Amino acid sequence: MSAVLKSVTDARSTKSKEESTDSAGPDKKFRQRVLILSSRGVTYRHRHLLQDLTSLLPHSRKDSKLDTKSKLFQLNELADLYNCNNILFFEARKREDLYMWMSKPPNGPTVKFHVQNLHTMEELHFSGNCLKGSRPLLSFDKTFESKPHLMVVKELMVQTFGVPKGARKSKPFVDHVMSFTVADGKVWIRCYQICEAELGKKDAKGNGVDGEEEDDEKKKKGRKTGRSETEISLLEIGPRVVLTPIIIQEGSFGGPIIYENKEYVSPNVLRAEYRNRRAQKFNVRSAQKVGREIKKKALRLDKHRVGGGGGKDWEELQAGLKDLFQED
Amino acid sequence: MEVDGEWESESDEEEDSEDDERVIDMSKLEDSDSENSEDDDEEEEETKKPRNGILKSSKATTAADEEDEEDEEDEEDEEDIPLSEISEEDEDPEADIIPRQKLTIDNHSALTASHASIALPIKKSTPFSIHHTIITSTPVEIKDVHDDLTRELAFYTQALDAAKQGRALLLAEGAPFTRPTDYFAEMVKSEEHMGKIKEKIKEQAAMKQASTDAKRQRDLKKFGKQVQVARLQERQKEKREMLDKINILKRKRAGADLGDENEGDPFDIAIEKASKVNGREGRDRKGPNVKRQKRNEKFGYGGKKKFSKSGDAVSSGDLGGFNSKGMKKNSFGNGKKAKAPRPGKSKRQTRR
Repeated sequence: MSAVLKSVTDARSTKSKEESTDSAGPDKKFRQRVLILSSRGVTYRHRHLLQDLTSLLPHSRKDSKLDTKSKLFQLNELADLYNCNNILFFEARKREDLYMWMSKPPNGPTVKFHVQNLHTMEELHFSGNCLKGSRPLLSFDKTFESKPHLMVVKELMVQTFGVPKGARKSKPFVDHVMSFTVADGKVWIRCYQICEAELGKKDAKGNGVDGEEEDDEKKKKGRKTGRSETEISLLEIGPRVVLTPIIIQEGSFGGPIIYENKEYVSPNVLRAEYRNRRAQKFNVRSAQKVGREIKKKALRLDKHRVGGGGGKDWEELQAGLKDLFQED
Repeated sequence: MEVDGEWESESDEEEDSEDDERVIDMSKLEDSDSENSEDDDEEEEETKKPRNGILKSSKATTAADEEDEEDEEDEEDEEDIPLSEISEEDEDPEADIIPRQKLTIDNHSALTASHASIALPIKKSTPFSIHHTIITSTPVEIKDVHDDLTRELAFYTQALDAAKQGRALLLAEGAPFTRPTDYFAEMVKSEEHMGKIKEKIKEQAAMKQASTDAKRQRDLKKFGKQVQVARLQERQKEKREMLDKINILKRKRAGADLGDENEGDPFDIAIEKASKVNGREGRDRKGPNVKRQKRNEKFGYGGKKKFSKSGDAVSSGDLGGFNSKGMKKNSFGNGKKAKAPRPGKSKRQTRR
């Protein structure tokens, strides 16, 4: 009996498959699974961002922190282990800088971003909210298609942030938009809830006392015309992130670098510059102090030097004078 | 598919060593004609590297030269690895601080190849419900990225357009879009979180309300003070006028007392009547009682009280109480009659 049932179901499934292939043509279902994890040394904000992303991406698999920061190619094996074909890896450095790696294992390209202006849902008190696991609309800036490296970035984003149809925990309704915009050489990510308000209803409420009949008529009208009557507005959900692409590698966490952002300045360098600039003040002052000492000596204003013309002091003074004139 | 294979193989080889790269280049040369130019470029690139390095080290390049180089770079976008220098007058504020020279890589062919290798096979016939991606018709331009309001507005409009478009597409395809009101499921933000947010919003609203209230109150207070001052002044004026009137009447009355008592003045009578009503008889003729008058003299009534007891030029110059004899007086009286000398011992003893 069971065999019969099996054969029947098999036949049905094959039929349905055929139908689907007929209707969609050569397009297959896009299977996407994202491995999300971070390195050690993330701060709470980084952790919260991770949490937000996992809650927004039902097709993601969250894993424990990765121990190493140098052998990132281990991630490929990990992805294989978890059956994932996308990796979203957050690398924290010095407990303040966050880098995001986006990759297509086993041999897709890898993009490394520097994460800036990071704000999680927790700290942004936005009133927007959406279903956990609903599929987002992905809105891309046209600029993404202007340059090849941006095209790669866009493709990776489509696959990691786009929830595939029929993903395990996904919901059938669409109630939020993720927007990706290129501005100032950076990718800005925002997430909005879609609020629908029926205009007909609003009007009815506005009229209020006029009578139920009118309301009914309007409702009917609304039903007839349907779609055009609703007004769409957006409410931001969060999180907010700005990504600066740094490099693109040809392989997954390996291979030659095929793109490098020349506008990118490492935060370490920035900090060093800042520190140097501040140190300069001290350096200048200390140099001035030394110069003043020498000048004093040259003018014999120093009390102890007044009597003595020769000897060691005299030699010192001569040397000092020499230095002074050389400097000038 | 051919392209894919090629690139993969190349990447593998490149990992091994740089020496192999040339060999592969040659193989690629044989492979396809289209890639010829790129390979040439690569080789050119290799020869260029040292030359540019010299340029950098010599630092003889003027600003104009740098610009030229950048122009070249733009033209040479087709090249595999253009070298570039970030000029000191860069628009980027960060680069403004840090003039640096950086070797950058922008391998267009490799990028396009890797894009092709991972791109989803999305065609026009592919239903929208499968990929859910919308690209704006025109590039989003933001004038000033550091201006929060305009930037966020641009993002919002982009997302809103996408939402409208996507909704229309999905509804046209018959795919579900709106969540029915009776569909409940776990949300991204928990109830607790939403409660927090609501509280925050309420708090903000309350604070706003409080601040506006305080402002209004302040304004009112300012105005109220003015009103109060005006009223006080008015009252004072009234009082003064009244006192003046009374004084005049009093004077009149005193004159009347001295002169003709019989002279009947209806106004006087009226005042008398009024005073009768006001206080007891007899007292108001002499004004306040004697005790009060004396006290007023002593302690003062009205006028400045401060420093009234301190000395001034007149008081210090006043020698009324001074007597030169007084200086010679001792406690027993006259100076001449000084106290009797102490009696002798025997006398004192006998006195006892």
